Amino acid sequence: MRILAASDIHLGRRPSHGLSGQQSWDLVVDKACELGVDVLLLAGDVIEHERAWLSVYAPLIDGLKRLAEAKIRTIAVSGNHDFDVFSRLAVEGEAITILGQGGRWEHVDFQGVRFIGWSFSQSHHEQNPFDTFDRALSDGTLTLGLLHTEVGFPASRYAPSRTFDFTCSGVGLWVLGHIHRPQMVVDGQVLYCGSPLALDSSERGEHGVWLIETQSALAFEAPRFIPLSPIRYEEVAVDVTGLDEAEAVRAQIRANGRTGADGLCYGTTLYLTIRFVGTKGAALDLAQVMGQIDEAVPFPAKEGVACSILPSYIDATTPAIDLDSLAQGEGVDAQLARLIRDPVGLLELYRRLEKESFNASAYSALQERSIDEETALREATGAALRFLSAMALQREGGV
Amino acid sequence: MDRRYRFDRVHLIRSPGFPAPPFGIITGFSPALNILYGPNGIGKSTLIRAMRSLLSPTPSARTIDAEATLTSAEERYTLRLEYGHLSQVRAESGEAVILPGRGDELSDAYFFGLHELLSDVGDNPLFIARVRSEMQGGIDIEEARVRSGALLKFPPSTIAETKEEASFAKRVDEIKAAIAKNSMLLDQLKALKERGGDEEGLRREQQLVRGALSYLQRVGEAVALGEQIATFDKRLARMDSATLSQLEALHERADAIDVEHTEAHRRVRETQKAIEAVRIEEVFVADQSIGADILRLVDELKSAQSAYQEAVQAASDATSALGVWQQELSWIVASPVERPTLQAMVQTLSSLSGQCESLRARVVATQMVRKALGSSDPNIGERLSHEQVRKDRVVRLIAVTGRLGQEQEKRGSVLWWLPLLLFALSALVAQKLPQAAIVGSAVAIAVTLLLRWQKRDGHSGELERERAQLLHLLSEDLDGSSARVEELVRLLERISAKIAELEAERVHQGRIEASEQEVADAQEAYNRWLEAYGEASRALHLLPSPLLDGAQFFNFSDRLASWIDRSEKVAIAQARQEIAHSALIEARRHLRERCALTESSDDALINDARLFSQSIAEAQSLSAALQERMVRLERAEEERVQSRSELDRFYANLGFEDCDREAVKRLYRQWSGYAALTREKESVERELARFGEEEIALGAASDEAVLAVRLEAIEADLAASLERKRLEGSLEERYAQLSNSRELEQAVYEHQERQRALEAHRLASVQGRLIQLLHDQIKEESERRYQPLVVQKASDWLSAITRGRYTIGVGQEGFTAYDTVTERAYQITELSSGSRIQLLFSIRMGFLEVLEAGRDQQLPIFFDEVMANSDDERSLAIAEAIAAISAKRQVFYATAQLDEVDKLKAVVTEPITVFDLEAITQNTTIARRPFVAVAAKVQLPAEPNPDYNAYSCDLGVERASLFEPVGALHSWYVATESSELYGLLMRGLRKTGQCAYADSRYEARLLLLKAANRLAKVGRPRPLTVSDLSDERLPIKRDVGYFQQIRDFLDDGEKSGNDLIKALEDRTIKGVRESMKEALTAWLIEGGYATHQSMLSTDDILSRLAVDHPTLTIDSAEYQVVARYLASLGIE
Repeated sequence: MRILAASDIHLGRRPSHGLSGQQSWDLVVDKACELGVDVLLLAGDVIEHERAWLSVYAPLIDGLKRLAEAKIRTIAVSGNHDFDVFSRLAVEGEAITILGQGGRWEHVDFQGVRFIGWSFSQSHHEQNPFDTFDRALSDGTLTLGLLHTEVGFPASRYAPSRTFDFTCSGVGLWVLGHIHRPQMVVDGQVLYCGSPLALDSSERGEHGVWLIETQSALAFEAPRFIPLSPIRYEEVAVDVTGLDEAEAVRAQIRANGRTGADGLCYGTTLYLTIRFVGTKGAALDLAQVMGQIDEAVPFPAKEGVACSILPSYIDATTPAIDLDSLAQGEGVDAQLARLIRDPVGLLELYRRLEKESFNASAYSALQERSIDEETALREATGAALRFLSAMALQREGGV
Repeated sequence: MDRRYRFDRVHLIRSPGFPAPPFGIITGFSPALNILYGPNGIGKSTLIRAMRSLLSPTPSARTIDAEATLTSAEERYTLRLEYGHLSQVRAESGEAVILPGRGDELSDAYFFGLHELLSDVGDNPLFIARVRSEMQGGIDIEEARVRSGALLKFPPSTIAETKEEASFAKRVDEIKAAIAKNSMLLDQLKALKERGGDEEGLRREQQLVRGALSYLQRVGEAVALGEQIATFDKRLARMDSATLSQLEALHERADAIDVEHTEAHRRVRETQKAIEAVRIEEVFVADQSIGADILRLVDELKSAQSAYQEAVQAASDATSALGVWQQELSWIVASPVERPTLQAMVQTLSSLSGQCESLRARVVATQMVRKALGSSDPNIGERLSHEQVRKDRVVRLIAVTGRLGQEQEKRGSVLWWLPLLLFALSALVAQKLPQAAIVGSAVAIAVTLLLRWQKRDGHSGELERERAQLLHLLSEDLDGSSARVEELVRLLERISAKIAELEAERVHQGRIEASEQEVADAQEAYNRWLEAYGEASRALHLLPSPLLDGAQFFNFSDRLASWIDRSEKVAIAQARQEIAHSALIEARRHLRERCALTESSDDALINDARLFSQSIAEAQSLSAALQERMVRLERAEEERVQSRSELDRFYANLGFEDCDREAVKRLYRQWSGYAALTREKESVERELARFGEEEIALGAASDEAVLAVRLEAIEADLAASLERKRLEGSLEERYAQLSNSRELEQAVYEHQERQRALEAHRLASVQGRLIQLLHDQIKEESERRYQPLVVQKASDWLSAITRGRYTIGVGQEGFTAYDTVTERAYQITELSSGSRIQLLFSIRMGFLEVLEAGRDQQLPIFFDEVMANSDDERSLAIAEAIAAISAKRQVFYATAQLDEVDKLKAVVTEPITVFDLEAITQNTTIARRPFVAVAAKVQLPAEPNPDYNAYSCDLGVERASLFEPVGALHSWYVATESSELYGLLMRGLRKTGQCAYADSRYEARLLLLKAANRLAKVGRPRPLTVSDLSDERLPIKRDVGYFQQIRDFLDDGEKSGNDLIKALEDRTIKGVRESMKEALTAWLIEGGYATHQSMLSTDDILSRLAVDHPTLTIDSAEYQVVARYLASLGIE
């Protein structure tokens, strides 16, 4: 049996650099038909807007019909985004089999393989689905589990589970949804499908679907990843040490972009987030450097691969200032250097301002979120270094 | 070493408010304190500002021109300020420099002006900024804060990013709500489809019931119609809509046939009478071809006539032509020849005539060639043979001589050189005679062989004999018997040359012989031609007339052929004439016989034949017409019978046996009603026939009321079904629209973009706030910990002049004075004016000390009434401070208070110089305009002249000028009579302005003149001079190239502002920016130097004045005064 597995299609969500939110679904259906698989597995979050599922119902139904016409059986579990529409499809559609409706484990046998699954019945589920799992479901037959879950975060509101739950389940292979980065959680046994299409710049690396084949009805072969996404996001480090001119930095960016394109497929557009590293001179203005790079004009990284530089960037540089010796001296810059060298104080100040910012009327619409300590310290240090660079410029006669 | 700079000399050249330099050149300055004393307005501050501006550029420098000499211990400088441009030059070298130690940024520190110190900018922000910078270790933390994007607070919700995010969030919510509201759409659709009834069945049933109802209705209608039809006359059934028209048509036709029959009968009779009138025999009438025959014969007769006449004419023409030929050419030939002979000979002659010229030309050409070759020499061959024999003998002689030489060689002498010599000679001769070279070479070879032979054969006796014999034979050419080989060789050369010459002659002789042969050949060919031509001529009987010399060149053949042609044509023409005559006789006979006419001339015959033919044709035509009319008459009779029959049958068909036309018409009037009922009934019956069996059966089984109720119920069911359909369609349309909509994803996408932008904004704000908080921390700490040197020094000064009461600090808002008594810090704004002066004085002194700490020079300091607002104690403190300062540098103190002078004099120990500026001003004025004592001289005006204009000449009245004050005009302009003017002048009232003061009448006239002057200035720009450019209001740079161009332009004759504007526009003056042009133009217009208005004429001015001055009548003295003034201005 040949099985194609996908999840987190988010039909109705337009990718940052895509044309429509239907593209991902169409790619999955096309690939299933092209490969002539027997079963298409959908591990949840097929659609984006759980309450407004109607807006993508027609393309969803059209895709399912195409699959049915190609004699491909579609088996799915609902995720936190599509519990509503999947419950409807389960009632109405003969073109799809939804497992685990109502928060109960369920199975279906098809061509000698047992598919078991559990579905979200509402947008959040804070209990571990394995609390109700019955190992007897997998006894004696080649079994494939389908689940939308967040592995390794017990406090998660999205059906939290543990690696242990899977390894002890007795199921031959688990196909999971929810995390958008495709990955093997337990090698050969548990995998996250990932989103077939990179939806925004945070979804780096390859994206696509997984092809699973059985070995004479007794076991599954190692799942094979099939890239689908014509867009790829990557982060590339650019060392600005010794680069004082903006044009030199831009040239370095392009050079690193071309290096990053090595190994990519033809027809891919590569979007790069630049992480500036190394020692940055006081006169070098990274914002000005990036302000001149036009994302809309990609440059050819290599034949068949266009490379675009995203305007947002990460400044992980260190200033060309000896903070330690500066902190030993007198003057305002020395004072500032001492403050920078106190990460605890700096972080505390930043955290306080973060909190204040969400209470500011201008940003009240934003959902309060907490960034990790490393990022927060980097942001805080970056700002303080900017201030220090402005002082240094005065010392150097730059102003 | 004395580090001070000091002014030695100052000259204030131009300054606002002073039309002339007020002080002249001031010298004698003290190196210490200089007090500029004088009343307010005398120019103290102006002088101090000028001196300051000479040291460093200041904002007021533009309005001042000044010059000074400044000296230090080592150097002397000339300082010059002109039109805002400051130049500082080393006096010795003339090198332009920036005064060493000059600090423009903080030059205010050298000036202590009371008014400036008390103004809003008295606490110069530069000072506090500099102090702060020093406190922060040379770093302007504020600048760094701004540069690094610090934020004082988080932004409000009014920022664009927040608004946009909110707007797009709302849009997303609206779309989601709209979609969610329709989430039951599929259920609704499903329910509707399930409820959908059997619409098709309902429609079928509805149709069946409707049909049955209709059937029943039609049956009723058919019965009713049948009953109505039965009430009409049965004969109406035989009628139709055409019955009446058919009846009328039949009657009309019968009547028409009757008329036609009568007419045919009449025509037959008329034709018969006409035939009888023509009187042509029956046999001719019956002969249908006779007319054509007669006309053909007439034509034939006419043709024969024409042919005969043409033949006669042709014979005559041919005879004439033959006669002409014979007359012209009978002298050439004796008699005509036979045609075959003529053809052969003519051909021969033609051929021969073409050859003649070339043969004659050949004879002449060959003869000319022969003649050109000259005479011939028949002995040339013999002479050539003779020379060859001689040559052979010489060669032999040379050989023999050589052999003999060899013989002699045997005796010790060898003739080895002989062949060589021969070869050399041959080579030399070969340059002129190649044949000789060949001969020479041959001889040389022969000699060589001979020598060799002689070696083999030693018969020298025999050789001697042969040699003697040869010498004998050549004795004519050689001298004696002892001819040497050299002589022989020379002889051989001569003989060879002769042989070559004779060879050339022999070739020429060959050509002559060939030429003679060609002459003979040409002559022979020509003779043969003459013979052939004579033979041909004789065959043609050409006369051997001497006149025919050269007749062979005359082309006879065509002429002879023409002669033969003409002879033959005469014979043919005569034959044709005979034939034509015979044909004419025959045609005449035929015509006469066909018409049975008697003998007559041809013309009469033709005329009679034509008349006869016409009569026959007429008779034949009438006969044909008669036959046709007879036929018609018969046909008309047949038709009359037929129409009667038809009419009878028509009546019979209608059921009217008596053929009563009127009765038919009366009954027909009822027919339309009858026919309508009939048609209606037929229609109903047709409809009944179309009903189906099911409908008929249902109709037969029910009545109308039952069926109507049933139909109503069916239609209600159908309406409900249609409504369901419509709703279903509407829902499906909405479903199709909503279920594949990009609207939501696009809105979400755009909202997320805005959220990202807002998030980026928030992150930037957090960073900005972080920087701000860091800035606040650092600033607070630095201000707490650091006290710059400048503040310390200023504080020392303040402490000194306040007797330890105050010190200086730096607070959030700037400098503060710390009161050691109250232990409280005061802002500048909180201080009294006296304390404020002390504070600011101290700050400046603190800066001065810091600024000059590392320098070699100390610039002069200027004080301008700084003690004026201070009480005695403070004044004294300041005076003491000035005393201390003047010990180290040159100080200028300006004051109008004598007590301040005294205070300073009391405390200053250094040399003091007090400048009484009022006295200086007065002295300067006197120096400029020294008083000149003059004796009073009374000059009486000239005696009145009755002619007022002439009186002006007596008085020396000047012409009026438009741009001079009207009040300065001579009194002549306001008076009208000489005696009146004399009276004014005697009173000393020489100017119109004086007259106006003296008398209201002249005041009124002066006002009129002023008004006239204003109007006259309209459109007439004021002359512009270079001096006008010094106007302070003119916003123009004086130190640029174009300013000099403007000065040069104005110096070049009288110019107006309009001229200057034109010069700027046409770029005569270059380099002026548009903004400067505009400013200059505005200044010119404002000053009256330029105008865009049109000039007013005298009439315009007087008219306008008359509007405002009712007394200004034409006959008034005022009118005369104004008109005279305008005329004097030259205005027309």
